[in-house]
Amino acid sequence: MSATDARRAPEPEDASDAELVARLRSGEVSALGVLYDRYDHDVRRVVARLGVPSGDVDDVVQATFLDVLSAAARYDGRENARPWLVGLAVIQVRRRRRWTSRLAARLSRVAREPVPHTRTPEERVASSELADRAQRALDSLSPKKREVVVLITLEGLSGEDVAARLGIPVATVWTRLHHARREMIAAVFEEGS
Amino acid sequence: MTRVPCKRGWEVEALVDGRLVGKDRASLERHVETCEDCGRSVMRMRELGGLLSALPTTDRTSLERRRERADLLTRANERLVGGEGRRSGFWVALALVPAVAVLAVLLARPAATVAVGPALPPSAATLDGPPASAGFEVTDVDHASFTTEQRDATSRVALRSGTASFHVEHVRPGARFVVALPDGEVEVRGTRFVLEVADGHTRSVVVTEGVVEVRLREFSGLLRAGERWPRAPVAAPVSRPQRSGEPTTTGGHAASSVPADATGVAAAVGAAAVSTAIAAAGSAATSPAEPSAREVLAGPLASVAAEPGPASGLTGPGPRFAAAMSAYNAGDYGEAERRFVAFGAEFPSDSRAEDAMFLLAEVRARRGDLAGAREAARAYLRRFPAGLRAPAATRLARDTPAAPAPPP
Repeated sequence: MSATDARRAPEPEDASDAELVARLRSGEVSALGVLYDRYDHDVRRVVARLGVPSGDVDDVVQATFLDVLSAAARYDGRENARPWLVGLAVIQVRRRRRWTSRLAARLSRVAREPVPHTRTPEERVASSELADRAQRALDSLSPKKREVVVLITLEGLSGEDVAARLGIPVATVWTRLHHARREMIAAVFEEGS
Repeated sequence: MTRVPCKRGWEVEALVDGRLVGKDRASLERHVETCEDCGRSVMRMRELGGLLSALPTTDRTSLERRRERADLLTRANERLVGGEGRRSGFWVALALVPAVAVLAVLLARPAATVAVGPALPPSAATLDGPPASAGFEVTDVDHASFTTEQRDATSRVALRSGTASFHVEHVRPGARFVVALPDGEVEVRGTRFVLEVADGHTRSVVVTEGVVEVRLREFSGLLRAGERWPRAPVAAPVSRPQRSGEPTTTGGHAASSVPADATGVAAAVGAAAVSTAIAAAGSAATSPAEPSAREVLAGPLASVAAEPGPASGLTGPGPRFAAAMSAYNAGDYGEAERRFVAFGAEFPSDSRAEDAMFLLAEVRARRGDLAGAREAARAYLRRFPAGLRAPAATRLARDTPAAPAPPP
């Protein structure tokens, strides 16, 4: 434990998420540290699953938690901040995607070949063939479909939460998930068969 | 022959997602056990979910994580205090330089009151104006050359050169108070401000109370308490004056830091002297019976935050810290300073004490009390040598006031 951690009074660690956000709103930076301790792993996982290359995950996670500073005023007061933070992460990923899309559009004038997402040797060794197919299937989904797959299937958020975070009707959430599943099942289990 | 899919296939996803409950769920679960199509769909969806969940996600070592956490909080801190680390400190210092130059001189030589209008303190020589004219006082701060003129209900002071401090009581309806400058004029309704004129040009206008309307060739507009012209690249608000009778923490602190030879003020603790002068001016300006311009300008927030402690119901550390932050965010740095000092004294072991100690240094810097800011920053570093705000506190602790910049 670092000196910084050691001198922290236990009080913030015991506070609810809603209270931490309220404290942050009043200028208490250390509350952000506690939120980070609680949810950075979740946010990081979501960001990675949404297709952000590993080299950029740190930046997106940082941007997500910095976004908490300005978004705190709009927090709905629920005890568990995880769905809210996941929603902020999705927004950051979308921003990054738009930025990279514009960059890619510019680069494509020079080179038409898309740059494939390369995986590290460790990732290659660790993954089985089915897992490889699942990863490819996930990567091939459209961003909108991928969002609902990650948030519902992998992160366990409710359809209502996802609809609220993405700003779409609940029925649209299930429709996107349905189509995403069909595509992925076809790709993973019937590929080559 | 095409095989017809099960009619209940569309329900399977709802089952997997947990959207089915009660009898519907029980019914479909029984169906899945006997329907090959639906059974395979459930199995595939669950297998797919398992595969996706098992996909590797990037992770870090605990050291990397701690580093990222510290980096996040440093950046968050910089955002919250409204600056970007070193750049912020630089601009704050830069913004303070002209104010220091004007007001440090104020302490460098004995001030001489040379002209007053009606309704001013008995110690000042009185130059009675007509009944409807404004009560005012002009103080020669540095070789001020000016004349006064009273015509009907208009008080006019022509400042030709030098630096003069003005205190104008609330101008009665129908009356005017105008300072004529070589390159324009300044009109007020009741305020305190300092003007500097040199070489036929207005060099600076610093407002410590009320509102001043400036009409110069180079600039026209309103300046409010804590504002100055020329404007700095990044606003470095000067404190609003204290309420009469209130303890003036910074004032008292800074006064003891001002060297006897005040000519070195600008280079040593000039900004602290600025804060002292302004606080003292504000304190003298406001009589207990008269609502000050500060109260009007600060608005209801300042009124709410004016009385800390049990009397106002702010008994716990949370409300007390929030009240201090409210004053800080409202730009009422005098009030914020008082509240942060009180918070640190009353709740030294609270988790927010670290923020309070650092923000005390920050508000002092914003008030121009750089000596006080250094002292507070050093106190912070002594207690939290590895604190989240240590980098910014280190900058505050070592920054010294820059030498006065030449006039623009």
